[in-house]
Amino acid sequence: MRFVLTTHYGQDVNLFRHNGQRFWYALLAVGAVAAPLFLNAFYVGELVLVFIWAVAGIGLMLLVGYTGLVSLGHAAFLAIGAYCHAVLLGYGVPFALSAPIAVAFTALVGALVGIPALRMTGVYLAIATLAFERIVAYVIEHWEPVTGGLRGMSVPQPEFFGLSLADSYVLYYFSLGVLAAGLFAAANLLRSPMGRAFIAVRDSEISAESMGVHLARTKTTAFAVSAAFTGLAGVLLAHRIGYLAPDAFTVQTSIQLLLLVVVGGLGSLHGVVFGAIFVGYLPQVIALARDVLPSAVGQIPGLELGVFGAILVLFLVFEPLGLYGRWLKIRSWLSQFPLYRKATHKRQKSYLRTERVH
Amino acid sequence: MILPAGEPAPTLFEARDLSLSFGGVKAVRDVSFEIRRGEVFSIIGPNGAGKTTIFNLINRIYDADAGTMSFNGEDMSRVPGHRVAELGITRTFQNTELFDRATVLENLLIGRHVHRRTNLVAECLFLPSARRQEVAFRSYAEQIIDLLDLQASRDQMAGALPYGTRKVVEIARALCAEPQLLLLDEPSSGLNPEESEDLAFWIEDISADLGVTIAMVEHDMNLVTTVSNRVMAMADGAAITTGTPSDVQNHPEVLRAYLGDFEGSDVPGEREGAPLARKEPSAGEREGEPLARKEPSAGEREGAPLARKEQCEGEPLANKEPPTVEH
Amino acid sequence: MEAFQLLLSGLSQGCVYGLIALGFVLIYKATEMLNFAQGDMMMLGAFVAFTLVNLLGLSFFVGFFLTLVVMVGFGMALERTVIRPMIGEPPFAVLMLTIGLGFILRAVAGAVWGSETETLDVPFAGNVLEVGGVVLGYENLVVIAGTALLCVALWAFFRYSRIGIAMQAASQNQLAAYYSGVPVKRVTSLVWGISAAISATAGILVAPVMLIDPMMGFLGIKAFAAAIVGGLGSLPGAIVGGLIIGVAEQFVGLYLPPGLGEVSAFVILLVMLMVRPQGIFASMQQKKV
Repeated sequence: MRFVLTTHYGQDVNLFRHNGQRFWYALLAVGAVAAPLFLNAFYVGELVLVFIWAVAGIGLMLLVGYTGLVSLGHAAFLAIGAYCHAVLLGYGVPFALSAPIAVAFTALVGALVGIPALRMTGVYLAIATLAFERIVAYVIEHWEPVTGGLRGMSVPQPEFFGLSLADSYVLYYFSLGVLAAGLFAAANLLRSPMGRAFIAVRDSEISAESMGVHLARTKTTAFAVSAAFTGLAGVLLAHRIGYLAPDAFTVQTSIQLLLLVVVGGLGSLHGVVFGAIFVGYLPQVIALARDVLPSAVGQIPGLELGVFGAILVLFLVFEPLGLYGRWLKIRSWLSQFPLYRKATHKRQKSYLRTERVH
Repeated sequence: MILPAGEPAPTLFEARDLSLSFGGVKAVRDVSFEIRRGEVFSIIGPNGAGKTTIFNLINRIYDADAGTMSFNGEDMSRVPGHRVAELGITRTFQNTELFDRATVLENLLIGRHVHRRTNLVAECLFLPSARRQEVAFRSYAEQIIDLLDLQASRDQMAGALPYGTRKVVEIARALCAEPQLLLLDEPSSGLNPEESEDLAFWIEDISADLGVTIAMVEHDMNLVTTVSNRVMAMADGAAITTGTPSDVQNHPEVLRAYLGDFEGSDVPGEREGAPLARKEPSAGEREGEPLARKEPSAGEREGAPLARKEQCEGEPLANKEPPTVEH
Repeated sequence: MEAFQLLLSGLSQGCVYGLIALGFVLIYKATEMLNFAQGDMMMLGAFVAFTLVNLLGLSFFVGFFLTLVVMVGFGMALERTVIRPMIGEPPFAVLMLTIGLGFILRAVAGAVWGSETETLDVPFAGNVLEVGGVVLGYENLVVIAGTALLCVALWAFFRYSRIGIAMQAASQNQLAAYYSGVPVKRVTSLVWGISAAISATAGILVAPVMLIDPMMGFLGIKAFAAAIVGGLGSLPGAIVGGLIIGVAEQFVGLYLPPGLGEVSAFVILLVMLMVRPQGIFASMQQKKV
């Protein structure tokens, strides 16, 4: 527990409140920059995947964790970003142009998907996004001249200054930079009026509107920003996997993204990173477990998804605040050691507040 | 509150012949009134009289079936809901509608949303303009925190606060928008006597120090007479009379509205004692009486919470009497 | 004539969507929770029936009845163990919980029954009815007749039985129902049980038409579309929405480019959301303060 003497409101606004925090984040940054020096290409590639999950996770976190809108179809935005980028590169558009266009296009699609959200509650939205994802998958599978259909398409890997994004070390630093910038932008947004308007919409629409929040515009913005982040992750993913095929973007991908935000901890950017590490490494752990377990258990079809499901359920029932919430508890236990009271973090039960009138 | 004697203050808000029905129920009928700049204007009346509906009409949650509203002389009968706060009208809610998973400070900062001048890009990059705005927002929010003594709960989650504090936070949030007109929907319901007394002082402070005009719906006649300049009494969706607190209190129609037709259902002061779960009617209903009977009262529809514990306005069975809508 | 056959198979497919949607809407009406595992409950029901009839050799009707009993128990147990602790959590937490449950059910089914497709032994399999040159599969007719019967039974249940009326009361206003002596918790459990049984019925009816495998629950996604097209919260709407989607799929599949039949349900859903988001039988309104 540390108390900071604030003498100016500007200090309150800062992302890092005191030098201790600055020190730890700087250390983390140094560690992230230095990591590839000690790792071989495979592990670097795995870390790239974690960064990509995290970038996409920022998008979904803003939508689900902060605005309270559920999307069951975020894989579609990932796919749109990836395909749009790859197709543009294929037409010879330079990277510096095609990536922003892909992101902007994904944001536009996101805003369009958000429009039905304006008139309905989260329930409808969840199903609508699921339907949207299926339709996007259909388009990708059947628009062969552009997307290569079920066969897929390879992603051109442009070079700049002799560096190619096909090289996992180059891609590592590039995605690390993107992730850092993304986290910075999201954190800024959340300490600004628009980010707070997201929270307002999440907690009480009626009250948000009475405080002057334009519901439609806020929800559309949330969708667009969320789609933009996810599309950006798609751009990175295109370079990471090098070959795009429909089976890279399925309902399972959407669910993994949801798992990411839930397990990480809804409503926290730290949670995005925790969740990304978790989701990035879970398949490896499961793969390892498959080898260890007796074949009768290890070879169960759908085991991986079953484990995802089980973890999702366990977190929702026992630790709705996710890994980040757990970390906060551990940290306050350590800092208040002999005096820690369990009730400090007692779960706030809010009683169901219905959105409907019969 | 302390208005200069002599000629009346200029009109801030004016409603002309407002009417609204829900299905067949006339919730508000031909109500006209004006709120003058700088005054504290109270609306009283039994449950189901249509008081909150008036607020919801002003707030543009409902469209009036007929009638007009103007604010500062400009027609506001058709402005969209989110523009009302921009015009300078903010409100609190009967059952409190805070942003529960945000801190008190964040709640207040959301209250300043109407003063947002930055765009999305400036916010994402936190350009100097965004930083300046943020610092300005905070310093204003802190002033309100000081005014209403909320320092202790500043960084607490709004959802974790005791009911009385939640009510105050709601007032604080509404004030952060720097409104010209503040609508308070039953500010004292659920408060203990001490908190109610504090509330009276705060209302006077808000009126005197910030120069905010206040309109409130209130049952506590003590509070109403202490702070109000003028009072409008309503019953059955219609305005009975408007005047000074003592005039209205002694108006024969008002007395009848409270004591005659609605037998003790909502005499001020009795509210606090009303048991949430008065049981008598249930025994009869349990015996195979149609459980799915649809009462016309919308008060009964209130929210169907799975297990909401707060005082449920319109306690489903405790007051079956008034068939009108308390929206 | 071809059109008529298409219509019939569309209707029978639509009945299945409708039944799953019915279970979905039932839970939504009673608890405002969305059960995304509804399709997987159907899958589970079909496998239970498969076990009882094919593996244990019970007669079809006994197996059918026992399946219903098992599934009511399963639904209630599920409510009691994982759903009830979630009361008061934000709605999307429950939604994600049921998604997780769906994955678990699929994995469990894969582990217990394997991932091959199975065929349920039904007494009416393979028979056809020929009416004026039109060949009608018994399977399709049974689905339609079974759905109609179930709907009548449900209607009577909600209209006349005490517990059915109590359910209606609880779904309209839980607090008021509670004060009137309705055991809301038990009613909620039972709603989950009935919903599971309805899904199981759908699974058994559809088994001769589409075979049983752990992934058949994906059918549920289209049922959600059906529920919304019909008007979320409306029981007749669920069936009507299911029929619309089922029939549309057949005709789109025939007359429009291949594969479009698969997504037609979703296109219909999105169009519906743009045009009339409250669905055909609207029942939801704005929240009040």
